[in-house]
Amino acid sequence: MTRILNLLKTTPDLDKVPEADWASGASSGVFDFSYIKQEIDPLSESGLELTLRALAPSRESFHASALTCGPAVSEKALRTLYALGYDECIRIDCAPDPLDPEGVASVIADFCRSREPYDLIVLGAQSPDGGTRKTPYLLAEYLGCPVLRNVTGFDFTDDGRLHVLRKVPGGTLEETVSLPLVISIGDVPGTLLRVPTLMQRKKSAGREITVVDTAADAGTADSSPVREKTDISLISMEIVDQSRAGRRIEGKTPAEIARILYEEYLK
Amino acid sequence: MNRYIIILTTTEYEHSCRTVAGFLKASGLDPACGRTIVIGQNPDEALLPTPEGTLLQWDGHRTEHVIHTLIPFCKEKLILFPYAEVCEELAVRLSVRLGGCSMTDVEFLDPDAAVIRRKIYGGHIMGTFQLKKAPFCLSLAKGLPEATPTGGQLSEPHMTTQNDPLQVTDAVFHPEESSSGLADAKFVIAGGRGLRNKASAEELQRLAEIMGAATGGTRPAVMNAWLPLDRLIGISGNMISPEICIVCGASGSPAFCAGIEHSRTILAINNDESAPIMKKADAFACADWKAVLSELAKLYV
Repeated sequence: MTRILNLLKTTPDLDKVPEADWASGASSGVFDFSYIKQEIDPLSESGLELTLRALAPSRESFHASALTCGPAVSEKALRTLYALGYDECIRIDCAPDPLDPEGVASVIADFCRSREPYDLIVLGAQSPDGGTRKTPYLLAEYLGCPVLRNVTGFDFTDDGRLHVLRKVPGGTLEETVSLPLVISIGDVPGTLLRVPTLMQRKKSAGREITVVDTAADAGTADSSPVREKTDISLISMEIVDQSRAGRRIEGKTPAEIARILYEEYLK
Repeated sequence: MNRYIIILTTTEYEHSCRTVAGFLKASGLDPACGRTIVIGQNPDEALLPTPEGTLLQWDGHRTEHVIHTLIPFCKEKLILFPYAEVCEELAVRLSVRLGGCSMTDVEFLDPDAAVIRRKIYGGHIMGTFQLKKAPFCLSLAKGLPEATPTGGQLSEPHMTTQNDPLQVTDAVFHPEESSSGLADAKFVIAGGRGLRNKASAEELQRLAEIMGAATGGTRPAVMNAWLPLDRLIGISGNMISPEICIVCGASGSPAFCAGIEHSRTILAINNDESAPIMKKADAFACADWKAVLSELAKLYV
C-alpha cells in the first residue's frame, strides 16, 4: 500500500491586518495574529486537492495522512480532511515560528522517522506568513529524500511510480519518477479544496485527531518543540513603505472620473 | 567575509549575471575576490560577474545530478545565488550539506557584519537578520538593480556526475505557447478580486485591448482562473515597469505592489476607499472599475 503524507499549514490572511498593528508589531518585535481567521494556506490547499484527485482511481491502494504543526485551533482543517476521506489526521502540538523553517522541518522530519516510511510527502511551496520557500528542501535533506519543486499535477502509475507535471523555465516538464519523494506544489489555478457534503461530515464526526506532543512522542532523543536558533536570528523589523501621492480623483459620474484620468495621466 | 562563491545556471543567464553584479556593487564585494560556478551549457564569459569562473556541464532539470558535485567547490564562507527556483533549491540544500545556513529573497547584505535584509510576513515587513552559522548560502530577491558584469574566464569544464535517485523515465518537455508580454508593456491594466468572475475578467481584457494596454492580474484573479497564470503580477509572477499601470478592483497587497512598484504612474479604481492600494497609487478613484474603464475606453475610440 502506498503511504502518502500531506502537510498543511493554517495561516491568517495577513492582508486583513490593520496598518497600525503592523507598525506596533514592528516596533515591539511581537506580532499577534490570533484575532484573524485562520485558513489552510492556498498552496497546501492545492496539494490536498491534487492528492484527492490522484487517489480517486484506486483509493484502496493508498493510505493517506494529513499533518499540521500548530495549536488546537488548527484541528478544524483536519476535521474537514477526515470528512473528505483521509485515513489519519495528525496535529503536532507546537508553536511553529513562520520565520524558522529549519525548526518546522526538523519537527516534521522527527515525526516521519518515528513512523513507517511515507512514499510521498506533499506540501505547498511556500506559506503566506513565512514565505521563505525553504521547508520542502529542508525536509527532503533531513529525510535524505529527493524533492521535486513546482509540481502542478501528479498521478500514480500502475507500477507504483509517480507521473508528475511541473513548471520549469519556458514550459512544463512531464516525467515519471520513483518513490520515495517529497513534492512541493506550485501555483495551480482551479485547485480549491473540495467541500465535504453534510453526509461526509456526519460519517466522519467523532474521528480522533492524533495529537503528537513533540517533547514526548515525535521520536528521536534530540527532538525539541522549540529549536534553539543557532544559525540565523531576526534582529529588527520595519514597515515596508510602498506609498505614493495618493491623490483622490473627484468626479460625480464615471464619465467625469474617466475624463479627468484621461486628460491628466493618459493622453 | 573577504572571499566568496557565486553559483548560477545558464537559464536566464544574462539577467542572473547582471543582477549578481549589481548585488556585488551594492554590498561592496570586490569581484576579484569571488569565483563564479556556472552550471549548464555554453555560457558567455563576457557576462561573468567575477574574473574567475568554473563551468559544470549539466543537463538542465535534475538538481540531484549537480548538488554533490558542487560541494568540493564550496569552500568559502559566503555563497551567493541569483533569483531562480533552481538556485533557491541549491542554496537551501547545499547549506544543509555544508553545515551552514541559508536565506532566500535577500535584498541587502553587509558582508563585514554578516547581516542581511529580506521582506517577511507577506511583504508587509522588512526584517534584518544576523547570520551566525557559515557558510552562508544566500539566494537573492527578484527585481534587484542590475549592473554591468566584469566578464572573466572559465576554467576547463567539469562534468556533473549522473546520480539519479528518481530514475526518471518518459520525460517530455512542453514549451509555453507564448509569452504574456507584460514585462515589456508600456501600459498595463491589472484586475484583482474585484473582478469577481471570468466574464468580468474578459470584459477587462476587451476594454484594455481597446485602450492599447496589456492585461495582468493579482493572485486571487489568477488562482480563480479568471485570468491565465502567466498574467500574474507580483513577487511570484511578472515584475513590470510600464509607464502607466491602472489597478482595478485590487486591494493592493504588498506582494502585488512589489510587482508594479517600478511603474512610472499607478492609478487605482476601487469601490473600497480604505483599500491599501489607494495610498500606494499616484491617484485613485473610489468608483466602480467597470463603469470608469468603459468610459475611458470610449475616449480611445
